[in-house]
Amino acid sequence: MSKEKLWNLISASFCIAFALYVLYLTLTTFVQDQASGGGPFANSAFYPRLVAGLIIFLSLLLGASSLIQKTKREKSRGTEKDEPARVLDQVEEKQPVGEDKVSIVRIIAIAIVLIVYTVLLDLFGYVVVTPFLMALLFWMLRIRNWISVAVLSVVSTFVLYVFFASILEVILPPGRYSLPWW
Amino acid sequence: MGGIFSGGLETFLAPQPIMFAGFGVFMGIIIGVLPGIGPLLGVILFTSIIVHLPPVVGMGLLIGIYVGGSCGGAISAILLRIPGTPIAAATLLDGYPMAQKGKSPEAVGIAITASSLGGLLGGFALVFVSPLVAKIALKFGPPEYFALTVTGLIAISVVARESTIKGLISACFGLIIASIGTDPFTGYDRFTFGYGNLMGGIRLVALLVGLFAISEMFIQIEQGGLNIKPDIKVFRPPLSVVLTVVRNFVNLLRASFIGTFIGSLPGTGGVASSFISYAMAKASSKEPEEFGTGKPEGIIATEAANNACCGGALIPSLALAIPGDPITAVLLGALMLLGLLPGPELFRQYPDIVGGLFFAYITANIFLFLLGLLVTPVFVSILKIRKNRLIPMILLLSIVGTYAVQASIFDVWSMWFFGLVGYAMRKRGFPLAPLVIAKVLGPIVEPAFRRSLILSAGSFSIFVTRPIALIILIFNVILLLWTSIPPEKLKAARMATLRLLSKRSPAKS
Repeated sequence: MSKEKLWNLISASFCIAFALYVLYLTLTTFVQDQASGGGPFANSAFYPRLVAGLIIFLSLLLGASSLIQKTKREKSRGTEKDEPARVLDQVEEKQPVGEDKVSIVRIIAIAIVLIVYTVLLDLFGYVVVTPFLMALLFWMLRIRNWISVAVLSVVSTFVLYVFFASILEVILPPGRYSLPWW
Repeated sequence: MGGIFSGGLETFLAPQPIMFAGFGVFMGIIIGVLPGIGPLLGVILFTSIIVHLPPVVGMGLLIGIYVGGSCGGAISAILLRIPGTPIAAATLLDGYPMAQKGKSPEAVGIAITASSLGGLLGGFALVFVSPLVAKIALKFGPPEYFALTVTGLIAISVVARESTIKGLISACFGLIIASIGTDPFTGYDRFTFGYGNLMGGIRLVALLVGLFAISEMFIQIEQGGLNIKPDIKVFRPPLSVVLTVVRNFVNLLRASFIGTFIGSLPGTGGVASSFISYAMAKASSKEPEEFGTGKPEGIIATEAANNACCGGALIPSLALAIPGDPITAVLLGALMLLGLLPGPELFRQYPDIVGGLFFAYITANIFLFLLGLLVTPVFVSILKIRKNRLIPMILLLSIVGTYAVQASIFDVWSMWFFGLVGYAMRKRGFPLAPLVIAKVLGPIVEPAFRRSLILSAGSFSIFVTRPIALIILIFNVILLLWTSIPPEKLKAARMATLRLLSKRSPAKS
């Protein structure tokens, strides 16, 4: 079985599991809260059940079509694509454009940095934490000139602060110590 | 109609709305120029900002980004052979060869002029057609509305280049997400798990930014090429390009009509219109063999069509609340965030705001012409910004923008969650647009469905006994059956139609 077909089956299974969970909630929690009986006005569960049922049907269709139909690669073998399709494939398939392809470890590290930033944002506030986040991101994306990193980090933090806090008068996260004090 | 114009003029003719529309166009071109960013991302990122602005000002900003972004992709398509946006893909067919001949300023100038003139023509259709459509739609009841919203959901799923089934599943996920929160009929909290933050549902901005911006940034990081700096000379287009475009007025008018018409069909979008317009221009040309070698007519056909598409897409979006494409879905979502419900009632209750949006659209295209030609050196210079400088800034704007909507860290966490969901969906070939459109239409679909059943005392026959609802549902079934036709047969049918319309011998490909 090809990789594409296997992933389609896994995706279909995941969708079915999700829909079954929605159905489970409508058959337990909704019933307990007396929100699933009555006509269209009173029945809060009817519409989600209908949509969940549709997801199950479509997912079964996806699984079946994955097993029956040819994959894209099999279909395109020996078929010459016209100019629009070739152009669109070039745009949409997005082949790696550089030798500096970033490893999955680095991508996960960037994700972890962003999650930690969100936690620290709530604790220490935008002004304190953001320059460090930006510096770390620039460094992880291979900007090695420390002056550039420092300037870009401070400037980007400051520009967004001015735009949101001063111009739009939005309160950015002050953190537990309510920074900045001014 | 008079009320729309006079009210709109009064609302829009002030420094702030005009300035923000111009700023939107400026930002839109910049965003469109950068490959991988695109007007959709730009509109999403700025949606978090517009909630703090008056409706016409905020929507003018987003419409400006929409218009500017739809043109900006042409600049990188012409100079780098990498379209900044998919809708500019067709422009590189003649734009890039023209640039290779040393005519980059002319190519970019023609693209900008054709875009703005095409957009203006699309705008006139928007101004005159959408009130008529809204007037007809005022007679619709819940069953008709339900059928129409289903059309919007099916259309965007059917035209997804990925699988239609995956598109429909994606749409269904969007409908489930839209049902999270307080039931509008009973007040019961659905799927909130006791969290107060979920009682109002998933915030649209958090969902949009996560699904599109965050997932896109991670995909861009994964691809590499973050330190590449294109070697491009900065230039300004000559004003003679305006004459070049105007002399091709037949091509311009045809492309604008195609773009407006196709844009008004839910789910189709700028890509289809630009390629169809290009094919028509080539088939109608006296020198079809010169297309693809740097012919100005090729650029005029594609750019006029893909910008006229913006005006066309706004017709069903404003008049019927049926998004023409993902960007208009976000625009509709933005209107809802501002407390305005799109659709025919918007025309009846707020004609001044509708008029303001019309003027914003027209003004945006005028700004596109002026800024596009005069400030080209800035836009070309933007292409030199390396991605490793841009991506952290977009991530920061995403976080801050999402937080700023309701000063809620929960929204930021929602954004990360949907970022992960968006990344996984893209990796497995599930389109994001149907999910977004379903989330935006969800507050309209469910009430329309349940009201229809209330009217019929629970009987589904109401959807087939009401003639207009029945016709729309039959159309939906035909749309679904259409996807079962093999692509080769569809392509043959498309080519035959084009030959018939151009009334010439078959075009060489």
